[in-house]
Amino acid sequence: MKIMLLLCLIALFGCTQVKPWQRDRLAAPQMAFDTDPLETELRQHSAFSKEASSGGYGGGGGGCGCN
Amino acid sequence: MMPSKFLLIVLAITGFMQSALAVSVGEPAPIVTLPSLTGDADVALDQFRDKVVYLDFWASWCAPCRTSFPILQSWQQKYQEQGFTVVAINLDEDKDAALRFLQHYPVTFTTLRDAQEHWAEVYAIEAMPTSFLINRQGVIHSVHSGFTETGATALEQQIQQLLRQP
Repeated sequence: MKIMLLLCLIALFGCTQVKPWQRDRLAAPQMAFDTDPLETELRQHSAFSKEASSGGYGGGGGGCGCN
Repeated sequence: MMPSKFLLIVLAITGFMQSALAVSVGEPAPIVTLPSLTGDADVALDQFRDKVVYLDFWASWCAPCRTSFPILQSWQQKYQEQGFTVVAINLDEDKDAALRFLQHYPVTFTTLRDAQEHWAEVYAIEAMPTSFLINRQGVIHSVHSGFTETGATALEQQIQQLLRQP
């Protein structure tokens, strides 16, 4: 437990405040969760259509995901 | 360990307890010495003593700076003979981005480059852009965060007021 706590504390040293004049770096491509939003969108659409019947993404019709 | 003590240590470590470096209104503006953005020569703020200085911290990615630069340039032309000057300190990580910005928004006033971000720390910049209006004695008259066209009118009145003072 103590070691865990220590590790957490050490990890906190990695935290830093982004200065106002560094905020452009947050918008850099390498900061994005997703490298290719368009491809993710297409894959999501296909997965959504195919998996809709099994639930997980809410409602939706199902089918091939061609529309 | 007491929970409150623990919290204090965590806060200290994560750097939320920042020391107050901020410059404030009514105090002499720290004398910035920086290389010019477009040339090589160093520029020191005290060479503009007995001028009204609009000290502006900006970056190329900052949207309000796109609004401000044409307006600052118009003020520079309008009031420079009365002893007014804009000094704009660039805080871009990439110098080329700053130079590209200046190609789109050409200006004749002094542009400096704070590559080490030292003066941004000293002046405790909390928003982009932040500007400091400095009177002829080198004392900070007012601080402005951000820039809007509507806010510019009030700013211009302050500049006119400062220019009337000896």
